Amino acid sequence: MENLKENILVKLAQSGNKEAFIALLKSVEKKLFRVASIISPQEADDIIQETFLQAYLSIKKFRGNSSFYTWIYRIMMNIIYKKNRRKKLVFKNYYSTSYLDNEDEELKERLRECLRKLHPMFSEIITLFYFEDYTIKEISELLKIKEGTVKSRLFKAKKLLKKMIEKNEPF
Amino acid sequence: MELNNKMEKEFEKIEKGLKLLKEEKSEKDVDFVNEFARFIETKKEKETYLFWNLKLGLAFLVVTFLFLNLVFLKHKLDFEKENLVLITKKTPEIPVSVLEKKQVDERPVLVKTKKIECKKIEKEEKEIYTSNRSSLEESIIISEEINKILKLFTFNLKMEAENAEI
Repeated sequence: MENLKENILVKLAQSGNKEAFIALLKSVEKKLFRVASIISPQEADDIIQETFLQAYLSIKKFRGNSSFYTWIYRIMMNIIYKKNRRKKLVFKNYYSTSYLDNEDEELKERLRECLRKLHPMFSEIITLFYFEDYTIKEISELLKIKEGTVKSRLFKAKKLLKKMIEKNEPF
Repeated sequence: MELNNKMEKEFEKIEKGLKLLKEEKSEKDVDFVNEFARFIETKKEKETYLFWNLKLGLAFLVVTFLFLNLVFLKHKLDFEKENLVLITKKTPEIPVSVLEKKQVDERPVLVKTKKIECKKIEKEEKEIYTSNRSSLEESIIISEEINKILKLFTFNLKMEAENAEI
């Protein structure tokens, strides 16, 4: 039923109905902001606005092969990736700062930076699995890929994160 | 099992970090959609404003182009008019001697031709006249002679009649 409603809204939005597009955005706004604020808390607002604009400009290209959330989520992950692609991965020395005085905080910051640098193909699986609490099966249905592929991507993503963290200074 | 444990140990730190990240909660009120709706509205307004401005600009350009065309045409006509006047006025500006020469050259030709034509006509007329006259004269002479003969005949006849009476 929800799928049908979403499909109708998508069709209306594609035909230029502004209200339908706003309704679609409202249904995904909170989820998107949550992920954006986890990965990039300082830029979350900009990322969300950019994502909405990008979605507004390319809604006609949406073919309906996946859900609207998956589509817009991918747009957001691409925006995050593009924003950070050219930036060098340099971890700050958080021990020297007074406000981040423990190991957990540093781990969190490092992970954030690594997630921003990670290819959207891997970061979307990490975020869906760890932050959105989707199961492997649900992710495979959502992204329309095999469960095995989801598992291997998840493993590879974690491996890449580990590698990226280890490349820099040790804790 | 061992492999799983090994893997878990391997990614222990990462999973811990990811869980810590998940626990972070943003207390910020989310109202991006309404903001975005306002943005779309202003964007549309701007677009329509730009569209109208473009339309107006184009119309203005067309009107000015037409007006310029009209002005240009008017100038062109005026220029041609002036040029015509100048051309007609310019003829006296040709050196007088040349003009006179020209006139002198032209006149005799005209006169000559006219005279020749007149002469020709006169000649023809004369010829016609003379030819007519001669024929007329001839006819008159002939008629006179005929009259004479007729008179003679009448006299003879009268004489014969008188003789008969006698």
